Amino acid sequence: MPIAGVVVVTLPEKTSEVLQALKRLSQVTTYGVHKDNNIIAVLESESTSGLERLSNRISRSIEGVIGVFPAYINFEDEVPDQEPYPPVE
Amino acid sequence: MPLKRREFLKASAAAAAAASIGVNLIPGMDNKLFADAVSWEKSVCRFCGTGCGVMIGKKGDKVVAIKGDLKNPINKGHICVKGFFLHKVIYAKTRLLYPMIKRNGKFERVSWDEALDYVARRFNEIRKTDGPDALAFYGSGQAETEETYMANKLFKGCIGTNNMEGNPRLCMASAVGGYLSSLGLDEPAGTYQDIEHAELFLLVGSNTAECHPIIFERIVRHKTKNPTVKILIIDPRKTPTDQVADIHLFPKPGWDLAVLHAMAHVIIKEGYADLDFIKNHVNFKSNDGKDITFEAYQQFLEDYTPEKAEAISGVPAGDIIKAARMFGQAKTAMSMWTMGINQRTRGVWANNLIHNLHLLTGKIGVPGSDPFSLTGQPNACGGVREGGGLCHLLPGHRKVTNPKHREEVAKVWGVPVGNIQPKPGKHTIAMFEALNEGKIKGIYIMCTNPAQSLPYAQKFWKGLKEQFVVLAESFYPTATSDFADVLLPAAFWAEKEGVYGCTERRSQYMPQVLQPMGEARWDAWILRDLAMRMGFKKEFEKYRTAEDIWNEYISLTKGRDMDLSGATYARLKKERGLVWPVPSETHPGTYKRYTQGDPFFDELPEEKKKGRRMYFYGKPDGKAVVWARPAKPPAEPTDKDFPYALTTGRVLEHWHTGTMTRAVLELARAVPRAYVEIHPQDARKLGIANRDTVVVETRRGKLEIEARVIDRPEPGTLFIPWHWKEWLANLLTIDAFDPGSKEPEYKVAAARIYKA
Amino acid sequence: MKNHLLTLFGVLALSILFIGLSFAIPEGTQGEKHPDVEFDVSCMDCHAEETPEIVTEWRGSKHGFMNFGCYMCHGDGTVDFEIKPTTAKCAGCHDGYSVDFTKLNVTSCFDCHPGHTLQLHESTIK
Ligand code: SF4
Repeated sequence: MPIAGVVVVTLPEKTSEVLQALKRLSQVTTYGVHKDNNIIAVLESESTSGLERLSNRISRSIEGVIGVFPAYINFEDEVPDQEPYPPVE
Repeated sequence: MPLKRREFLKASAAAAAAASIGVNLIPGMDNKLFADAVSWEKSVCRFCGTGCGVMIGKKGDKVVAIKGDLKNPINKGHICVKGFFLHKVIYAKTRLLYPMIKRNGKFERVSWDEALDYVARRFNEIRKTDGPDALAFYGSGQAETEETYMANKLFKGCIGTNNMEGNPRLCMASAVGGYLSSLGLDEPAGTYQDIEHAELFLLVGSNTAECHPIIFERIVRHKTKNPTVKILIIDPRKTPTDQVADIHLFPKPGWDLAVLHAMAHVIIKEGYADLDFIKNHVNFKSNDGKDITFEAYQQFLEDYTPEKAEAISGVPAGDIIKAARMFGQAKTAMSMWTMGINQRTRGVWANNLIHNLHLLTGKIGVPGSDPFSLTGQPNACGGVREGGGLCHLLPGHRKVTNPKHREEVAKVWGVPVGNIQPKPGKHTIAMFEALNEGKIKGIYIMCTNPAQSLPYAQKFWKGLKEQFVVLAESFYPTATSDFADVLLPAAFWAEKEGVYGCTERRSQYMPQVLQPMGEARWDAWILRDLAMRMGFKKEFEKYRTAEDIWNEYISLTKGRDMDLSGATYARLKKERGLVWPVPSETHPGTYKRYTQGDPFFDELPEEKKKGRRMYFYGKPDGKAVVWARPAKPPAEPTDKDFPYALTTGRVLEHWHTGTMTRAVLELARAVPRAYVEIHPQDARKLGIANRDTVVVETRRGKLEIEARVIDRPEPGTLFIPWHWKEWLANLLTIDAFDPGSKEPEYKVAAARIYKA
Repeated sequence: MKNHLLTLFGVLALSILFIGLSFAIPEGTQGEKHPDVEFDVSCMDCHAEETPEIVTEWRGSKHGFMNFGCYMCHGDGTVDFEIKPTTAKCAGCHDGYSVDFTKLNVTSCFDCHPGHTLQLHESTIK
């Protein structure tokens, strides 16, 4: 089951609403707001395409989202026995 | 996928995402301050007598952070605002960096050799022409035990004068007198562990919330978990401590002895006295020291009915009765007090009366019950009380008047016993008076600031100006440095190793983690080198390390009530302090004195212990004393001309004369200046508005200061915090002192106040 | 499938560029400056008037209860100033709570313990 660590960048005045909206999505876990309008979140899905759909859904359907920027992806189930990818520098 | 693994992956994902915008999610890394601190070493807070364990965080050769020591049983990781900023004190701009000698009214930088030679020559001259008693030493409850020990040896053992005092005289002397006369030996029987077992706290003359914040925190934590815990406060001023008070009695400043007697009166009348305990553990004595019966004591108390106490103190009789019942009904009770009780012309008596309540009800010697005096300074108990840094004491709770004690100490010091005078030297106030009169011509002041901290301070500036003053300090300028002839830069906390002994008989080791700043040196080495230059080479050259000094000191405590002989550096470096008596290297330390578990109690022959759960082995028959002390008024009661009672004290953010805390921007900003608290009723009457500039005047001086109109002091009472030399509260205080403890009555002066 | 991944990483590369450009603001201070205030004015003197809600909130909190003032977390306002304090500041006094944020889905102590409103158990405060 793939996982992606993403930065959700929001319009500065919408940050808390976006955060609330993200918290309602069961496939999303949030890790707080940073540097004013960056929400760190982890997305989980059945497949990488599911991840992509989820990511698109967030950027399109939640008002105030400027963009969803992944920084890390793990798809261990699909590539077994491999160490998680090192975080991107 | 197992959950743990998945959580890990999620965390890595989040961390990576965060890292991409320069934020770190991993604890320890998200944390700029602590990420930098590569190494942590355990030490002890430099400020109050609570003795919190702190961790010093060091990166390279710089201390960058302080945090509470999680493993320390006193504070369990918590620290207060002062401890938190300790690292900033080290790097204060006001550090004294070089030895200086005053020439033509100006300080000139000199070499260590020049400075020490000069002091040695002057001291020897004075000693030769005017005798050893023309010299004096004035030390500190902030100095390490090792430092005080060296000074003690130099002055009492080598120079041969008992004019060796320290600021604990101004702070803890009455508590010492109280413990000695009531229980037979100095220092509390219990420890902080009692806090979590107490059902009632009696806080008298203590603003615990601001002056011992972490003890307060423990009390609050305990009460939060156990809402039935009661807190009873006796204090003329409402303080932040009141936030948790169940009942607060407000006596007029200095008139509280009657209240304590009246509580005893009610306790006995209503059957709360523990007659069994009294029978086996307590003697009664009248004020002149004669044995009296329990009945005679009760007769004495007839003079202190709650109604009479109300007439004397202003506390409603109903409140006194309520407080007495609360004390009586609680299964366990812990009393805590500080300067409100000690800094009084009847400080020893006030201490006795607190002990009385515990002895009458048997609330002592069991978990949760103890009359527990709080110390103001981090090493007043360790260095000065135990180390013998006062004019009548010798190391190890010994007395100069006792020939056997002199002999024991002289032997270890390697000096002829005749060097140690059998008569006590001059106590602090007498010492500074002798300086004024020119009877003392040279004084060595270490780690303290008497020009600001003495009561009626300006009276003693004359002597400081006229006589030869050597000041060993870490900071410059201070109020006292203005008067010094020679300034010796002393290494500060963390720049030296040594031991501090806090309120609960716990001795804790502090490591050196830094090189002293500038040319600063450790006080003990300054004293050693000075001693050698004065001609005491043989006596002092053997000390090579701090441990040498400590080992010699603890050898002197062997077999004494405060036996520290098992508390070696090796152990202290590992453990979070040891609570004496620690008679051997395998002994874990002692939680309760005078009862089972105390090695001295356990060793007693069975017939002595028979029928007793406690044996006060400092008293000839092992019985503590309930004293029938008359209730005396303060030295300077209010009157028509000076209708207000002025009392002084601390605030949370600052400490003592402010040389350390005022150097920290955050703390300076928090409380930037002094003020006088006045009750709104009084302010209205005098047309004083909040923030008005007012003049507070006593028979000794006046002070222009900002008014703070607030309902903290009772009507008729004024309060000024004493940390600022610019608004020097001690221009106003009185130098009258307790005839027993010689501790001055800082806490009560008659004053008037008017708009400037 | 490879394609999807490529798309994702493409976005990723862009995002780093984007973020790198837009967040070159000094750490901790968020680019904010405390107004210049004379050093004989205490934090509380001003803030009781300027931000009375925050001061009231703080007073009712555990920090207010212990009288641990603004400066503990926010700095002195001149040399040190942080509008949004970092968790580092907490750890100095609260070393007793070593928290692994990765287990808690939070990123700072303040997520669960807002400094101004930290609550004490009701029965204690009178
Ligand atoms: S309570 Fe006292 S010992 Fe503890 S951190 Fe504060 S000042 Fe230091």
